[in-house]
Amino acid sequence: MATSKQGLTLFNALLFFVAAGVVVQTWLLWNAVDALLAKRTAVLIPTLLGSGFVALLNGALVTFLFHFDRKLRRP
Amino acid sequence: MAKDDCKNCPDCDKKPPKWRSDFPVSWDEDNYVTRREMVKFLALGSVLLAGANAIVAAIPYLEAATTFPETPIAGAESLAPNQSLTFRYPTEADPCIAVKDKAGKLLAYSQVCTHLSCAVVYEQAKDVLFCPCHHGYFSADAGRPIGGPPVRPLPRIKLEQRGAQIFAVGVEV
Repeated sequence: MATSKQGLTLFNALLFFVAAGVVVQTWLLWNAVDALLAKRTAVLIPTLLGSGFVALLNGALVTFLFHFDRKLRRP
Repeated sequence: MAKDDCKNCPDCDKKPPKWRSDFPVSWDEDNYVTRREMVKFLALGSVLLAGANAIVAAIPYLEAATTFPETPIAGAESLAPNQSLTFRYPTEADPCIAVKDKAGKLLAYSQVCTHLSCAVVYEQAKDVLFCPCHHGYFSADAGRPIGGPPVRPLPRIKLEQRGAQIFAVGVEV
């Protein structure tokens, strides 16, 4: 990362992606609860896999985010 | 600017007070949530949501592992076609209704309406289970919602005939 301004842009972009992932997970949880109450149990495992995948993706993004943040602060 | 608020800006040669180095965040800045804190909250929220989804996915498996008692239903064996009777299963706090259709097949359901938990009753003329609170209708042959506000079927009570006696042996949700 060349400058702190570029770093800020990247930080904001990744922050947006993580927030979007949390919104998707909220939607998946909503659907899982809806399916559970409607006894459509076939929906539960795909929503769990989707939510787990998004959580892993968010974890990877946050790890990357703090990694480059450390590099930027202590070049 | 008060003396204690001096941050040793370039235009001034005053030294900041010693406590400033121990407490570098000013009162106003303390109310802000930084981007780093925000992304940490979001990551924690993401993990919690995945955990909640795992709990929701595990509920049907936990319910399947639940064992139900075997309870005889008094009077079920002598029930006439197109008639119903009420009983309690699996506990005294769970009202149920048994219905014998015109063909003589005996079926049983939870009596608790899946809309807002009123008690459903059997309507002989229409051969349906009827919730009088909000005019919900369920089919008597499967407990499916067929009219009114309910959208989920009635839990079905599994029955077994042993000799002359009818037993309730489980709940199928």
